[in-house]
Amino acid sequence: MTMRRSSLASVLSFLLVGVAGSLLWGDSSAVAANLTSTKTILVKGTVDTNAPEMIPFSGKIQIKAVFVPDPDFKLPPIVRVSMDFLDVQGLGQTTKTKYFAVGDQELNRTLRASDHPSLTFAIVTEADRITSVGTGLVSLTLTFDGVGNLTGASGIVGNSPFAPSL
Amino acid sequence: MYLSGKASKARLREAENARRNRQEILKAWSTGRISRRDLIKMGLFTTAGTLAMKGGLHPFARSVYAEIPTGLPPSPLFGAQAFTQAMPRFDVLPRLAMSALNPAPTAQANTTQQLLNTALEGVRAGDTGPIEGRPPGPIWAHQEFTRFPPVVAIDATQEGAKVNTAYNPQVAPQFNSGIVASNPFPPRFHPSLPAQSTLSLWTFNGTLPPKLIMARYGEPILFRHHNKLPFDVTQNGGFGRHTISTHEHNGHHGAENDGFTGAFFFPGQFYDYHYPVVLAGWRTINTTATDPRAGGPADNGGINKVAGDWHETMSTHWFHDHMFSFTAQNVYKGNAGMLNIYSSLDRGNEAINDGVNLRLPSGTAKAWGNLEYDVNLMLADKAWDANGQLTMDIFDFDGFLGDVMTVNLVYKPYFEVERRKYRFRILNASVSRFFKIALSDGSAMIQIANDGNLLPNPVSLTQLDEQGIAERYDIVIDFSRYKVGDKVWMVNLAEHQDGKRVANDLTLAEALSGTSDDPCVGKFLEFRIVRDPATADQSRVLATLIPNPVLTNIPVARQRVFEFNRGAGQTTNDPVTTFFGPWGIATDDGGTLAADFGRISAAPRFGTREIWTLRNGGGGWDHPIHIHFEECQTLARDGSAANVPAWEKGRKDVWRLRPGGEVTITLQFRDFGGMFMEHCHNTMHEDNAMLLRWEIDDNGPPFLRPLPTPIPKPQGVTFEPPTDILPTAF
Repeated sequence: MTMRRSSLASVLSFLLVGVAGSLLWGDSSAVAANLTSTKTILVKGTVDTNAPEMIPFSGKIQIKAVFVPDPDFKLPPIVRVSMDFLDVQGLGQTTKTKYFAVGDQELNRTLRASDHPSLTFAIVTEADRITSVGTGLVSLTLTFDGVGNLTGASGIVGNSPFAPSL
Repeated sequence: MYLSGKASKARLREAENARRNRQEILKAWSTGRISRRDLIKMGLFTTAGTLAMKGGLHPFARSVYAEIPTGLPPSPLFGAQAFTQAMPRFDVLPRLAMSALNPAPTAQANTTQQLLNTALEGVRAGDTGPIEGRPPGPIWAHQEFTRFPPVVAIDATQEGAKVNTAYNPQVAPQFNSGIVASNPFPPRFHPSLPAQSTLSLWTFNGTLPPKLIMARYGEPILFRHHNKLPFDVTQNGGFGRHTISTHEHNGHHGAENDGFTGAFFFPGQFYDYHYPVVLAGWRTINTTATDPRAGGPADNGGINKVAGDWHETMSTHWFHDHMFSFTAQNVYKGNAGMLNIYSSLDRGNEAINDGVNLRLPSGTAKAWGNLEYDVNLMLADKAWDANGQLTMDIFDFDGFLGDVMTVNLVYKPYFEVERRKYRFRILNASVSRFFKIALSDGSAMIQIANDGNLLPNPVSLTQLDEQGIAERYDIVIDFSRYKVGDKVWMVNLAEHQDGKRVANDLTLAEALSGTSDDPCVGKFLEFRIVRDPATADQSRVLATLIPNPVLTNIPVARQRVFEFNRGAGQTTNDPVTTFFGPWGIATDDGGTLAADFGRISAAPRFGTREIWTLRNGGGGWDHPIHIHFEECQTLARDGSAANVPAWEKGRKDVWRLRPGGEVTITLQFRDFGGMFMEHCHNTMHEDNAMLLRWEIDDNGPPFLRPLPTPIPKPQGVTFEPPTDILPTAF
């Protein structure tokens, strides 16, 4: 049915006839205990573009996943994923400079059995942990069971495919 | 999901019809002709708290249109293309001599009577009312007005849209993407879009670009805000309330200047807000003002030292409406500006090398407050109707989403930059949308501040954390890594399906792929690298910025728990102070209550410190929770300090609780008193009715314990006792 009535009264009267609404809002559920699972993985790989020199990186990333269901609206559950680069570093092949990968992230991801987020990280030097001298990419594979447990995780370091003006 | 602009003509026509039908109710509601209670009694809301699923009325009804978070048809673009207009810098409000204000400001509200306009609700011919809307008497007098007398006046209006003929970006055109400030600046979101009407857009001074106040420690400000909105409440273009209350987010000053939600004022009135611009702790720390790190920039490049704790230095604020139950509409309609506070540490001059100045990107021409390389960005999603006028669905209590991205209130602009470092002060000024920002080349940004507080240590990030409504993230981008002629874009990764929370944080590749149904995902601001800087970049980002205040010697007086839930109850029914909605707050394991600004939910003792836990009562939504008055430190997330990310290790005033999450914070109650607020800054949640009042009322006269509640009317503000005091409040 299409309505094109202009007066408030006509709109309200139409609705009053057709709707038996409730006086109550829906209650929120009690806070569910969120399931948390953590894995620490070894990642390695070489960055040779968007970097000052060829840098083979290796180190650990801790991945924590918090499963968050939605009993109120029955929306698809999400997983709050935290990634901590614990000590991912590399030695520049030309200058032997020590580089670090900085890429801590917090993500809300729709829960799926297998998720493949690829995330850029900043490359910094030991002397200056703030100023980025390049960008790398870590490609992760995260697997979850039906109740949001992080059952598997792996990752590979490589070149960032992103560039300016694209 | 969003109704695509490529949907069939029949579906688009249905959606447009629904919008028109809904507009009748929206207008009636926004103008007070019907109340929310009336609508509930009429059965127009479902148990989920949304508008009834009626074809021809509710565009969310799947069988009719599919779900549309805006509640509206797609916004027409009138041929406007992204990244074809320059992004305007903020319009700096003039800093006037105090003598410019007439009448002169007074400590207590100026109750000089004026004849009232009979178009105001409840006004009869011959009625008079005070010229100032501030509640009268000593409780609402400016605290420490003699100790911190205002020396700078800001005189601004709130009014309908008009052409700006006095635009002052305080930078030359080459630092404003070529915009010549002397040219008239029309109130439109893009040159291809129609100008906004006087009833569609209500901004400070009625003009675009958004306004910037420049403040510095040691220089108190008197902000006189004139309400020049229509006297007739029905003259609102379908949404927006003509009564306002202006919150300086997150100023450390008396509650009379805080924009308390129930201290609103009417068209024809002004309200004097006294911003002393002081460092927290000024009563007890560095009281002789000897530490140069506690200070403001002097005109000669030196430092004007002030009392207080330099660890409490703040930088990036904003100001916006806080009208009870109408904040979302009014802020969306244009009642939002930014305020930069300059300090001895954050001078706004990158060249001064005195061992105190952090020399963040800014410029060098002036002693302080250089804006050439210090850029305010106001992000907001908007929607407009078939005529290109700003529009909004105020019935979407879950949260309103626009389908068009704006930066500094223009549609997807570009900004010209030099090959050097820039500071960006990013404000999320949306109603319900969260952002998550990356650069299109995946390269790093340095986050230096969170909620206007410089971090203890800057953090290098290739994507920022989600940024909730009202959060401010200050970042530094070094464009020297690009070539002249390059372009790089800011990209939004946070995909919404509705206004309750982010549905999915996309990867950069996903966001750039163009496959998201959310029209506000993807590129929204284009940086054009246009030249090398004429002079060398003298700015820097040190490894240490502002360490946190040490609180370990201050005992914890109380712990409180606030849980943010759906399904609020209503225990009070004052027609002015209460508002019923699906959202509410449970205090200290009590019941979840809808908003009542007459209710006291907490009353910490003056001079104490407490620990508060903010708990999200569900997983289907997120809430950016704001606590007024003093910056807090985040002690834990989900019960552990280890869960606090590096970019939240400084001070904050807004916390995304995260779906199903919990935050533990600590805060002090000192220096000033009065009634303040705590609320969700998803302003649709705040308005419906996730807000509570807390107060500091035990610092002696003139305060009373408890404080009486102001009840504003055009004829004057009256007071009534609190409607309720929670058992754990005191």
